[in-house]
Amino acid sequence: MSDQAIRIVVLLKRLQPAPPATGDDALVGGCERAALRLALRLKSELHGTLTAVALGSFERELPVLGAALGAGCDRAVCVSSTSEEIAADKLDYLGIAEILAEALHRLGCDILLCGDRSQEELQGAVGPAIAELLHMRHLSSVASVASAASVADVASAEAGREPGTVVAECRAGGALHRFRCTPPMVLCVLAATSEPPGPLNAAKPDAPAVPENVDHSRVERMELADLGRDPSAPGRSALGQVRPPRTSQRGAILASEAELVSRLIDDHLLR
Amino acid sequence: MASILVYIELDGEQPRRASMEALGEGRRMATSLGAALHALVLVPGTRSVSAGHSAGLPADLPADLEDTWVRALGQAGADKVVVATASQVPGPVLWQTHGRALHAACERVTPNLVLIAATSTGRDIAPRLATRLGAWFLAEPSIEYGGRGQVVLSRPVFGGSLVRRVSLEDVRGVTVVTLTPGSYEPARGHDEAEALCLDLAMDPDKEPLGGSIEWVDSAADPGAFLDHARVIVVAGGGIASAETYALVGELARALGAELGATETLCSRGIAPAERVIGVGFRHVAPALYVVCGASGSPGHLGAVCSDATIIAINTDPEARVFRLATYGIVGRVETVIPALVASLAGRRAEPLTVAT
Repeated sequence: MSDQAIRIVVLLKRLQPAPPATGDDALVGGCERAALRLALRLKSELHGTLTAVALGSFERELPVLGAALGAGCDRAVCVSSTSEEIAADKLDYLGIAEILAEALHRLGCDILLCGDRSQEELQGAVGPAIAELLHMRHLSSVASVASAASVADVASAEAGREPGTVVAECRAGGALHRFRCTPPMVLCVLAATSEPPGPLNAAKPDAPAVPENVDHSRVERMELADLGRDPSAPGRSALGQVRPPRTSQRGAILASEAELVSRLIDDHLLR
Repeated sequence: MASILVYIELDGEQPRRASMEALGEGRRMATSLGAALHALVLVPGTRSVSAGHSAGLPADLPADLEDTWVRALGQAGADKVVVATASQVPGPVLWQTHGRALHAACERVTPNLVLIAATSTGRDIAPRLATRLGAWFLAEPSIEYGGRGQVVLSRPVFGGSLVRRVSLEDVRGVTVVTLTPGSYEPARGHDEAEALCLDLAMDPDKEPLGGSIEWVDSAADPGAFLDHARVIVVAGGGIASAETYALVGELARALGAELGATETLCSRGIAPAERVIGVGFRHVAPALYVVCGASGSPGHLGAVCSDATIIAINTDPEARVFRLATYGIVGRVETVIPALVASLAGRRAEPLTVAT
């Protein structure tokens, strides 16, 4: 690693419009919010720089990136296109990852933080795919991360000598595993409970709005053409067809608890 | 479709049940599609395995490979069992420990479809394997079998308001699919499988990547009891007090279920954080899921497998949860649960046990 500051990048993405009456008014998903909070803390602990990156329509992602700047990111970059084809639900996981990997390669990245799963597709594929394309190691299901210097019980003669060394705790196989990691790396972050209210989570009580002093003109644009991609065909399209469920079924509202028990017995779910 | 490969994840020296379930579903798919079914197991070894069935066996493998893997996996549905060695490293099995070997095996076998159980290992490995193969990737779809050998994979997206459907006969190229643990049955067969042993001695540290990831230690996950629970009762944001939360716990006990909570309730301190169920927190795959006082937001129910039977209790008849539930009762949790527990107790002399 060179002596330059650790370059931390966090991937954000505005949530697709939720179905009505869900009560979920957050701008980004829980995993992305956790990734941003983690990125801000690591920026401070590792004395690094932090860039927020989003892929999508500039107008749509502007509030997210503006909030990221207001929260303390040094830069905010929207990889965008005027083409309809860049909509995330139209691109395959690999199509999305290839675009973002190229953008990250241009920006420079030592530690990439992203959400473990998006709330829309729930696949958990983009983070590991970016790691593969950038030839970086990755960890998924990351529950927490601390800079190595702040974790006394794993400190060693070597820890802390390598800039950007962190200890990541991952959930896997019914256990929590700690790993000592040196950059470059991709960390796919789980959501966290008890998060403080913030502009990216409007559903929380007392959530402040995007700070008024955020200069949205600081949000940078990186066009697909800048990445050498054809805006009309930016990447591999998503597989299959997306349509409403075959039956917009409404569950049977039962009149009594006894009837529910009877139904469950008939369905062989109780005996 | 020429061939399907199922990755058999090990728990110590035994195959994980989730992988055997994936193999069972792979058998069904292979029969429907007219494909050959391969089962791949990466065994820890310190010496390489020579190509061929009996030559150059690693010293720490049982002498009779057929009894240990080939026969067992053949009788579980595999047409061919691929046994390869992988370096034994401390800590959990992840992409960085076994990914290269798995990819190398895929390069040798050249499957059209790769099935991996959606355990934490599988979720870490599968998307990166798909990327390295340039493959399509589908996480935990439901599977439908149609006439003429048609296999359709479908999965809810955008909180269940839409469904993405893929017919395998329309796919060109390789597809990697993860399968939800507990949603399938292992197969039982009588045919013996062919064996193929591969020399895939791979040192995970030799992958030409910068940086490093070293396992330090492991501790118990306090919420792991939810991972394999077949019956879950969950308390949502409509639960206003610790007393009402305790009432939901009584229903869980009456059903023999595990107790979970939404992120909203945990954030208010009424339920402990390890019980949270939600997208990006903890995903569950129960057979029966009883939702008490939760609206059914995409961020919550998106974390519950689509095969679960959902029961809803809520005061709002227009709540989203009722559109996704099989059965529902409109009412206050404080009123419904005591009556429901009474109905459960009155039905039989012994407490009812949920069929699993």
